[in-house]
Amino acid sequence: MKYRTQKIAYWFFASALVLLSLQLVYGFIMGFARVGYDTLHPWIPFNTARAVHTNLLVVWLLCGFMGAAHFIIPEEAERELEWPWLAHAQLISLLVVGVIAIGCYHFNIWEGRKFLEIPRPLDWLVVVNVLAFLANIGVTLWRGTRHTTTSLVLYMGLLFAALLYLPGMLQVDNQTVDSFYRWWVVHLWVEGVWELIMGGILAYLLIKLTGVDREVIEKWLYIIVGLTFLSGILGTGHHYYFIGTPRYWLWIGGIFSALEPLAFLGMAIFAIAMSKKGGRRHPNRIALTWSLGCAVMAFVGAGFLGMAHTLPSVNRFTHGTLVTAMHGHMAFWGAYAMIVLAMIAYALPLLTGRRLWDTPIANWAFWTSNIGMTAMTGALAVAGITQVNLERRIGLDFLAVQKEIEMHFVGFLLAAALFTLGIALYIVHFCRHGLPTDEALSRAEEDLPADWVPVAK
Amino acid sequence: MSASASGRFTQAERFRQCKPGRLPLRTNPRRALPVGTGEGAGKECPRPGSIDRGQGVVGHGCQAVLSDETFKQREGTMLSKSQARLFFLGGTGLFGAAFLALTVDSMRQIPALTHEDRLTEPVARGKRIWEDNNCMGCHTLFGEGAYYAPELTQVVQRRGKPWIAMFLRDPEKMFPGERRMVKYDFTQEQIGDLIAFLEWCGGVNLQGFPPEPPLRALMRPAAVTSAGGTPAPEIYQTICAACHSVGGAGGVVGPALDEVHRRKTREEMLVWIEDPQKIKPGTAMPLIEMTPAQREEIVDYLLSLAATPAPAAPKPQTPAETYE
Repeated sequence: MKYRTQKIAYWFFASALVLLSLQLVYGFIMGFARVGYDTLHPWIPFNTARAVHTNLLVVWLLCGFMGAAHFIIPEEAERELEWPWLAHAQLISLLVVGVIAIGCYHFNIWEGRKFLEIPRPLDWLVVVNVLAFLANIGVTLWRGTRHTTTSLVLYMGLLFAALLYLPGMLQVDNQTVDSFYRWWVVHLWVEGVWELIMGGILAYLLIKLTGVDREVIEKWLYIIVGLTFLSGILGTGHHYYFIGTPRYWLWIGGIFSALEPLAFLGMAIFAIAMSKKGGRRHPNRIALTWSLGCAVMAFVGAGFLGMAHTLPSVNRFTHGTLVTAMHGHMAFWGAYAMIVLAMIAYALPLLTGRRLWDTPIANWAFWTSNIGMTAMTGALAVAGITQVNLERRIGLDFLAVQKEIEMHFVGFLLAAALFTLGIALYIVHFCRHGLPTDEALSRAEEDLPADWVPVAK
Repeated sequence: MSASASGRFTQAERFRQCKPGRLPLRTNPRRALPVGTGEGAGKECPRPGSIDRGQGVVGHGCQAVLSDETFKQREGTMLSKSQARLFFLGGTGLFGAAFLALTVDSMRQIPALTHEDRLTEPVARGKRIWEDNNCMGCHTLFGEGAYYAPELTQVVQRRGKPWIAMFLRDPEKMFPGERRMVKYDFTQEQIGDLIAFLEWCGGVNLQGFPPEPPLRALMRPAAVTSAGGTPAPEIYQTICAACHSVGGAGGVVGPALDEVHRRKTREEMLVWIEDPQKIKPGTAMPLIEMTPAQREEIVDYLLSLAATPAPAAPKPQTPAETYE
């Protein structure tokens, strides 16, 4: 850590992990409801649990992205954060708005549009909050001595994420138009600008952890985000197949969403190639493990599993079934949860001055959570494919099919328990670092042990 | 931005961060770069491979180590950073513009595809009820939602309005012991609005979604398609068939009714339908409000089944059996 104000990142990361824990609780509520144990139904019906689960995901990921930005931008811009007080105020207000929104869901108060359930008045508070964040980061960057590609890509990602939130606030009577613009937010976030954020963070981590020349990494960063937008923008069409839009979206969406895995494949190859190319063995091995894991799991979850049901002829049958949930779980985990966890793993020793890199707990956390998530995805895949065959291909009744696939959710819950163990270990690892301190400030090769030998020739 | 206008690095920029006497950062020790010609060339680096904290434009950079040729070779073997940037900005601009154009065209076509002329005030109110209660948090509509409860795109066409109205008054009554839905206490008018909204949704051109199950025909024996002497009355088709089956077609919540005429007399049936709870307290069958004439119609239909000789495959198939 080189700048005092980078410490703010710690509080964003800590909040993100608290929200993640809460997300898991609501996930379990839904999992148990699916195997018939819906005792909480009178207080937390499925739609409440579902809205809380997905909204917490979005909020904790945004929290993690903001934390990452507060850590990366001062270092890239080579100056302190412009208004540290604003960053604190913004984090607190974000959490307050989030908690109020989640509270509302328990009292049947919401906007009721998938992923955008926040009641409209609170939408405006979110906008103000994000503007404050962007102003703070933006002015820091603007007045900084150095404008790097990594920081610009990261900032552009955050800026466009904020702008794209606005179409989601449109109020229209036509369900098709409503859905059309809802995807501008949801799709263009997760398959567009969030990938910019992810790419920016990944590039930063690779520069730091592998030591490969910044010019080389940033060149490939441009190619990858270029591929993302090339496929992702028109790839929005895969949400427009069956919602009442013109027929041409079937082939436009089909072609371009079939190209979407390219960006993720590029990202995976890029991360692995850079880590091989880097002659440097950074001692924070676990951060590199998370970074590479992120690139690989993002390709499997978001790229490959997305591709598996994106073609119109397949999607006609899988659309609106658990196959989507299967893809969703691993995509969000691989692409966005893991990049945030990688960033935390990298930043934590620098913020707190404790060199707890590569401990057994940290390694167990990585493997347990990833194996757990892979098994969860497998259980959802079996449930989803069975649902497609029985309900969509044979034409059996919805509830009868749900009974048939109940047993897969028992497996799902077991896998989720393993996953939760991994996250718990990660949080233990996080807590063992203690709080951030100014003593960790240094400008030289501070972060590496004195006896560390760099490259083995 | 470190790059000059041309996108290439100027001599000054390239060496901005260099300190004399260091070798360049070797991205790969096995492929060390040739030493350049400038000042400091050939000198030993005191800490070979030492860490560049990222300030350098060219790695940890070393004065005069990279000749122009080497630099170009290195920067532009496949493609340069400025070309990469051009690819990103150009691609994004081009496909962003295409997306906006298609959006404009979609907005032009959507009114016709969704029959916007039928989008009346009750439909709009129904949509707000749909959103205010987060129905998408369990159900799917146009295939979008949460996969916990049935797809509702063509529910009005599938179930009929009377059944939905009755269901919404007390969802658990219609599916006792099954997956639960919140009882919302909607007014009669709100239920009407919701049905109007769902009916409008059912009329939207969804480009063939939801698809007709391609294997359905293979799973049903042909013989049972013509069960019953007289066609079932509408009230039977919309309400009773949701739970009961005749000739293998219908719901599986209640018992099949093919043979009910053997077990019950006309009067017994009429009394039973009027208030099942009175005859057998605790039965899963709800009290369904209908007129005496409707009850007569149902019983007439069930008795007419006696006139038909039992079909070749009379045993009603539950979905589970069909599957196995």
